[in-house]
Amino acid sequence: MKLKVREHERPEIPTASMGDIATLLIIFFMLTTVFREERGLHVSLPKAIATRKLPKKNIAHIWVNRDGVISIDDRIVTPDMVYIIMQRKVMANPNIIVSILMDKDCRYGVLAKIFDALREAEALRVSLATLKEKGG
Amino acid sequence: MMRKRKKKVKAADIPLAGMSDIAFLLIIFFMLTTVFTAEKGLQIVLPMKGEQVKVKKKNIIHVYVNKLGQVRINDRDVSLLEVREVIRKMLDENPKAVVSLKIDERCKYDDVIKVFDQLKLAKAERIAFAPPRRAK
Repeated sequence: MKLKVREHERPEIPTASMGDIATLLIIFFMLTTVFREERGLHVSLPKAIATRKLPKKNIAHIWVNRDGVISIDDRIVTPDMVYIIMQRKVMANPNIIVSILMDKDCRYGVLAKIFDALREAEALRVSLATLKEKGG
Repeated sequence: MMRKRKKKVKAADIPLAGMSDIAFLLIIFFMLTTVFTAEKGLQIVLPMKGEQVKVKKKNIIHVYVNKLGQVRINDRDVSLLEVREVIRKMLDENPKAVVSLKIDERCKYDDVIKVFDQLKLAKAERIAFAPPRRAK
């Protein structure tokens, strides 16, 4: 007896709404992307082999350019003001890590002053921002 | 009067079939070109203000850096490349040792980081920035 060959319908994935999905994804990521608010100063960071990554949260930045100009929260501040600003930040968040982005051509004296101010403000966890250098 | 023949106007169509391809290409492009700026640096913990930790004299390794970035460890001139080995040997002999970094105010930050990097690579856990020598 000859069996009747059934005609199979070819399975298909509906692709009509693919475009909608893609567009939705684009819009979602566009809306949730947060750009860095702080612009800082123009610095060229030094390189170090022992560079480690920092956690993403609880970070305050201090920018120091090659002339020793200090900027916090996009405001140029004098070395004496560092203490007051950082103390306020520590009060708001005791776990804060201070990341110092300092130009490699700057003098050490500026850093020493900032260290003093940070100790005074009890912002004790500090990171000296560097670029990762290969080797080791 | 001749009757005007009505022309059939074809509805204009924008081809939408390739839309999703374009959208996905855009997503992939932006996914690949996005660089998440991870914060990097060399971490240190500063001592509290007024906190005096008595360290026995023999447990202190003095590291001096002059304004030209030349390094001296316990009254012995060493080159930057030797720092790591010298410090590691000293730490092997005396694991309780503390490194005291005394740096000239006028020293370039780049040189400071280079020395500090070497100390980190030598696995020196306890590093203290001593107040800088004032320029005479």
